[in-house]
Amino acid sequence: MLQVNLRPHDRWRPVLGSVLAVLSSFDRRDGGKRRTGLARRRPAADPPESDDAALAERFAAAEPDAIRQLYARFGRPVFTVAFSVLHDRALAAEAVQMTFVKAWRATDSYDAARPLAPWLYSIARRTAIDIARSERRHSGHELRETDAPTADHAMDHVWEAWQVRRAVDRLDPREREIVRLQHFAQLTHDEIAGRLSIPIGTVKSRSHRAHQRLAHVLTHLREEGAA
Amino acid sequence: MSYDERFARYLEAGDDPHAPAEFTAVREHLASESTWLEPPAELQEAIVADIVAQHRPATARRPSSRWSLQRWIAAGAVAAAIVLAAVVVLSPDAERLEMQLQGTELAEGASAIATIVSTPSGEDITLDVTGLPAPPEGSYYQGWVRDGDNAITIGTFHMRGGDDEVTLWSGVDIEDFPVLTVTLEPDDGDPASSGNVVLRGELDQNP
Repeated sequence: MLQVNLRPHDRWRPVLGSVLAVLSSFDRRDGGKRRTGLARRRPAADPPESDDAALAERFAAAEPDAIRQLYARFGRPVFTVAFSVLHDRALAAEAVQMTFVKAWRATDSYDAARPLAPWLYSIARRTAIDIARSERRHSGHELRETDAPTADHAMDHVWEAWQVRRAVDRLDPREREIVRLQHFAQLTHDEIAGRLSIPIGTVKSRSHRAHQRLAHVLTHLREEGAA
Repeated sequence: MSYDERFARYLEAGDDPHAPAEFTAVREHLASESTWLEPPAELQEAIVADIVAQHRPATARRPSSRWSLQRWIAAGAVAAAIVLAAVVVLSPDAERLEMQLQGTELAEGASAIATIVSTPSGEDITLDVTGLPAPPEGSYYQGWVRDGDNAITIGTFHMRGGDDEVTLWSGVDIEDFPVLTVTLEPDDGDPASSGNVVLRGELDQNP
């Protein structure tokens, strides 16, 4: 456990307490048949990175370079989690900022023996859910229905979104662009070759390598499903 | 065929009618907007500024700047009237600069004093803002440093609590980007500046 001295932040405690209470109720719920048929996701599959503890310690000290390093590693996945919950870019950006600030305030609860990723994911998810609930309270049912996840299958979906985003971010940028165009833009290999002005053989080889990497990085999803 | 090989093949081609649930789930995520969205470009520096501002002990937030500001006002009043945009004086401490920002036609009653402290990690910029109204709903203020053609954001803020000190953070040397502006930005996710400058000041590099 990192020992860092942070100022108390009492104004957040009631919010975090209520969110944690809601999340605890999810854990007690009978999940029934889920969309993916997978067991409850457990955010423990991210491999620890060698500098996690040192980075967390520097982050706790509010070193700007450490904050930037943490953001560079997790900013996009946190944004994906927030958007998956909130379906709104501005709210998702707000959630990202709150997530990193909350994480900084909570660094004394981070266990240096464990990876940073699942710890930060949990904070991101709770923060996004809290914003979603707040938006619902303040905007009324007819306005900006945020469809906050309130069931296990939705939690699974958000956890998968985090994992897939992290896997995609680890791809070589050229391979990542092939994957984006193939899946998100729904282009064929021929169309991708035309779009990027590269031979179709290059598209196929990059696509093959990229999907192999994705499968390898995401193979733990099966293990979680079997847990 | 190994599990990984089957997984990779399904991800690429999607042609396995008996694919496990995790295969189809990942393919759905690859086609989802949330997997490919980029967060706003200014978000990183806003987070840095927010955390750094909260980390600093209250007693150290703006050391002796009030005294320096009063001296600056007394000594620089005449020069300020001539130099309409801004005046900067070097404080006795060579690591700290002060810069006055004037409201533009979009915020004529506004002004700010920027105290810029060089730290090992970058330029710590504190704006003491007065007379800048809260931005309209759906908008916010954003700080920038500029060198003529290029602008780099140093954080975002609102003034909905009234006049206040605002802490911003620059990763580039203020002497290389000597113009400091504050713009009014719509909350539309567009990272580019709106061009709606409400405060502007410039470092006088030849005092």
